[in-house]
Amino acid sequence: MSARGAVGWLTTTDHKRIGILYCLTAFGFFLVGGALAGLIRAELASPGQQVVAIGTYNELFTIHGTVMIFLFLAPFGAGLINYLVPLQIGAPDMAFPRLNAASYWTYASGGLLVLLSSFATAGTGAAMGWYAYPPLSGPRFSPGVGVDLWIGGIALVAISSLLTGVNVLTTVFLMRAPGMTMWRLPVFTWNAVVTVVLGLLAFPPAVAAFALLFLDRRLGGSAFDPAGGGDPIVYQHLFWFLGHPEVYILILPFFGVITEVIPVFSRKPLFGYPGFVLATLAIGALSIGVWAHHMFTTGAVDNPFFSAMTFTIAVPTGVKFFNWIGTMWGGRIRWSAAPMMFAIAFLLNFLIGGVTGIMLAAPPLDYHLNDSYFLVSHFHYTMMGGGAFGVFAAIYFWFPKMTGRMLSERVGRLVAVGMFVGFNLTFWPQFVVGLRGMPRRVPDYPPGIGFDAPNLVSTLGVVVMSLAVLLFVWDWWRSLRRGPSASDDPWGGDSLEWTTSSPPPEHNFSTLPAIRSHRPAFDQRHPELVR
Amino acid sequence: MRTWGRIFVAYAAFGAVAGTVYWLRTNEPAGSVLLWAMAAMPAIVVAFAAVRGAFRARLPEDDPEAGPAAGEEELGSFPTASVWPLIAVVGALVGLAAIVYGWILLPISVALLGWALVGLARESRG
Repeated sequence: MSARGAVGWLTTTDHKRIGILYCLTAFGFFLVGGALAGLIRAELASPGQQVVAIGTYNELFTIHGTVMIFLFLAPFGAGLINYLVPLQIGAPDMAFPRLNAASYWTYASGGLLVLLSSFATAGTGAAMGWYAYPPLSGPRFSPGVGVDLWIGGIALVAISSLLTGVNVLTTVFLMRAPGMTMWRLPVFTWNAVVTVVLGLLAFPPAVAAFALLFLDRRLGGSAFDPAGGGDPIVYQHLFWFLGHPEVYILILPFFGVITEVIPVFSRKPLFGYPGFVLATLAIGALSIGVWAHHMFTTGAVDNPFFSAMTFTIAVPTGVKFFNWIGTMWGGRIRWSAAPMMFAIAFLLNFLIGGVTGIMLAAPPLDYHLNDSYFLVSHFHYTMMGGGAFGVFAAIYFWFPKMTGRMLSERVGRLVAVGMFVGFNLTFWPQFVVGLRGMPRRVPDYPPGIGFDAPNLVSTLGVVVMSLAVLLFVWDWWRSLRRGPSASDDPWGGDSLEWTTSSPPPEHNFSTLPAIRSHRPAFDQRHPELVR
Repeated sequence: MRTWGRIFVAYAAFGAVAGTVYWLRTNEPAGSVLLWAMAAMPAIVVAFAAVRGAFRARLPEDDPEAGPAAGEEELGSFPTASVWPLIAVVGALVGLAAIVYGWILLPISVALLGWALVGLARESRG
């Protein structure tokens, strides 16, 4: 029996509690990153310096990017993976429970260091952008301890990701329930497998890059200093070898989320399960080979090679869109269910993000649009419009399973509409100013050259989105204490977690059903349909 | 077991081919080594599993006809609480702070990590 109260949460090794800790911590970081984005948008609402100083602005976008990428989206995905994977495969826990707890605390400690790198460094905060390119991140242009703490924090987050990867793969490969063959894994678990494989392949080079950067900064090394025979382009290779797979590490768990949500709320099985799984595996492989499309404009990489690889990765992503649309086609869709609304918003936003990504994969266009607001908007359409909407779809879908209580459907619909409208008000105008030539990472712009109105609309969009998020937080808090009780399977779910109680007991299952497909919960409800 | 082995072999083959094509086109060492490393990492895991005979084992989870009763053998014990992971991570955090703020913090880090290591070892022996 685990301990109760705060001590119980501090010492837990139960995968469900650790998953919830990951999700809560990551959502806390989302609120911090969102507040920083609010300050950035307030500064850009109109021409002129009005809210923050230039140096502070640089720290804001550095920590905003770092927090949202390394401390919010990826760890929220890790939280869902922790909570759901053992339940979906019929395992009592993760393979290494103590290692799992260590992974969480390593991530939380890394997050703390990243925040300290900006907020507790007396004017020497990390202000070099979330890529931390040398020489800007080197000792000459970034003296003080801010960048050192940032490196330490990100290294801890990377180590956490590696520990989680080993744990998840061991669990999925060796602890599945009888009859749960690999080709019967739920789609979320398949996406989790590819996500952690990517993490295991891509994080070590980045940790090496950060270690070398640290040596350059603190011990007089010259790995990235041309004056000492080093090469800053090597840092870019090492960083983006993580940085681009990281995009898929962020998004794949949420591909899994909406692929669980769409069939349930379309009341149909997933269209093309094998094709979906193969597309996920193909994305995993191809995403490793596209890193240098972030380096087209350096002139130091093979642009045709990376352009071709980037165009190729659009194919399996397109296959997934066919899977999602084919699943909805002819289904009795519950349009007004909050998880489904977020899933549909995900599809619309991610499609725009994906199409603009294909534009940026063409080097001639990339030369024109690189480092403009067009790129900022593209990136946010994939990561926020896709990833963050996937976060909310997951919360509304699995909140009843995690807590035994329901969130308000009516408030959920309001949150979904508010976030979708606010998001598009925020980021669509950024495509416009990007095409008109506004560079990113600038705290000011001249008036009267076509930047004013789109920037103002963009800031108003953040206000709408913030109100929607605050409404969600209020509903979450209220429902946690007074929400209506949830049944074990409130949605008519497909995967194994819906066959146990809400919330599940310690070690997850008292009895397991026979597993004869990738939809064991559906099979249990409809044994007459099992072949 | 065989399915994940095939996936890892496919990833290793992709890394080897992509790395070779990239090297032949560019002679650029950093990217080529990274792609070959992508080939090596899953290949090492598959080779180790093959040497240990893991792919010959027929497990209940690989049997599409297996029922719940097939998995009733002991999986091992799963602890629900342990304080040592938290102490170990605090030790590592203090160690990082020592590098940034001063080596005076290092003995605290070593002590915490050592304490956590001993605690974990004793706990895992039951």
